[in-house]
Amino acid sequence: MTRGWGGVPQQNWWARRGTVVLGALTALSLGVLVVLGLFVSDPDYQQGDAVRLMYLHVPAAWVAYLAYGVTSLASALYLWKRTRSQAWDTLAGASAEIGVLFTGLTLVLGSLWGRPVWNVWWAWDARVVSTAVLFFLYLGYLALRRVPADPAVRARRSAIAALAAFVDVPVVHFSVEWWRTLHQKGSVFNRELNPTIEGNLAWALLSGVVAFTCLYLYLLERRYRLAVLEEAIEERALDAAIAERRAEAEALPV
Amino acid sequence: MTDAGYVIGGWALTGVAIAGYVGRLWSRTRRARRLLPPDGEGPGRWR
Repeated sequence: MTRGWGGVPQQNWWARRGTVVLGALTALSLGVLVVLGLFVSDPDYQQGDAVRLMYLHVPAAWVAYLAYGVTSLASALYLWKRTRSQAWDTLAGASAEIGVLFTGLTLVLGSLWGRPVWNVWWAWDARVVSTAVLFFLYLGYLALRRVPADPAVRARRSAIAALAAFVDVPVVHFSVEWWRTLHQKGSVFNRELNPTIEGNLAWALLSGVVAFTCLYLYLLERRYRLAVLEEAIEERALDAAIAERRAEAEALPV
Repeated sequence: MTDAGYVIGGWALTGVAIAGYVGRLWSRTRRARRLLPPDGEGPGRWR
């Protein structure tokens, strides 16, 4: 995306076609997820049909990690003087918003899964609580971005806040190793457990991860584009206000 | 509630949340585009 005529953001041909292709891939992969997750996958021998919630809960948690990782990387690139650009700040904000959406989904889906499997809606468990803390930390980050300030000041303090909030991501991830938790330890890539997931259950889980990753990329592109448009509108409004004040000043008798 | 109830509730909620967010992005983008010059006024076209 480039700044075109009159400061209006323009997308080139490749970017426009890329968005269409990404949107189509996202719709297709979500369709595959629905078919595999709801109709093809067998019930788990312990969890029963509740396992179908895992095909959304695990990918949602993965996307939340990914989104906050992108936010942190973009924030670090903004803070580093050699790479400082308003675009990194915009990208960080866009990614964090999607991260909050998927963290919220992770919590709600985990609760819906926990009721039939753990027999509780909520547990004061290290993984669950640290995830809730993560949700509120980035909700605070989004609130901080809305506090009126000079764009450079706002971007700098938002970048620092994003990096501070990211400290909770490894805490969430390793909480099941560091503390005794009701939430199970990592299982898919756990060498000690050497897990074997039945074929169609594994494919459903994998399709969920692929679909949600495509969805994240699509949403990020759309949210970033919207932020650029809104920034252009703000700039125009500011330019118009300045021009108006100047005209008023010139109209005054000397 | 049966397991199926939780599953249907979880999938429906996820669908509504994602569709709602996409819809909000679309409507805000359309509104922003209306406030910027219409297609054809500049050297490039915004779609």
